[in-house]
Amino acid sequence: MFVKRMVDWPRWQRWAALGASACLYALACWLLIRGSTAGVVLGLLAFGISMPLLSYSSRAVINERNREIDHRLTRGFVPPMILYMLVMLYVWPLHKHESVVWLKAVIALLPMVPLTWAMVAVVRFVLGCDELERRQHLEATGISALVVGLVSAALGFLVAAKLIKVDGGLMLLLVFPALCMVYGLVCGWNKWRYRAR
Amino acid sequence: MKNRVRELREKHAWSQAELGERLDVSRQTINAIETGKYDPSLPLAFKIARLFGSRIETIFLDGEAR
Repeated sequence: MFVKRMVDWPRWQRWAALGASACLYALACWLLIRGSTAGVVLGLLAFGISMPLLSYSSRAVINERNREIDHRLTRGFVPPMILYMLVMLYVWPLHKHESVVWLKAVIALLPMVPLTWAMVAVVRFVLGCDELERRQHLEATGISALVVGLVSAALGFLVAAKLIKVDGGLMLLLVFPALCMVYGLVCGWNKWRYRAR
Repeated sequence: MKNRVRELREKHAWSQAELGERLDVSRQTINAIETGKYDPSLPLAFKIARLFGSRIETIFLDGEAR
């Protein structure tokens, strides 16, 4: 498959592929935010294409071959994320009109199914990495937990001192994305630290 | 810890990616070992020694030993 040999492409082609995938990803986000049915369908399609391309081209840019675990991560991560977006767009809002408590709870927790599926793919990926990569993931996990924990504690103190008002539910929802964001940033920083001289 | 991985790899005319494939690790890991940014685990060090047909202590050199 052409992505396996992407690392052998000329440097400018690898960067062009990364740029094109980033643009496609931005287009996917824009289409999904617009919210029309056609936009959502096209957005999900663009997301499904851009995510694997982003993953493969970013590895190619740092002169790394795409291994079986990278393909497995893509196969295990992209479908649940598409399902997650579909659930959030079309199923999750239904909980507002549901009066049966257990059904409301089931609908409210439904996004956890694709999220857990995606996280299983990430765990399998990390377990398949080599020893240096696993160390980098461990460092990223530790640092992201510390950073998010410290920010949460700081916000908690400010709320307790009645200096700011924070929606508790929103804050709880933001913890996981914040962890993922800091984790991703630390992973990128680690790649930079161990980059070729 | 100093090591002779780069020297041995170049002797075999392998790229970092090729050596990485043979050892089932990423190119980044090979680069980090060669530049001394990362000391491999014992299993990986033995794997490297086996691949180059050398003894482990002739590839990985204790920088503090006299």
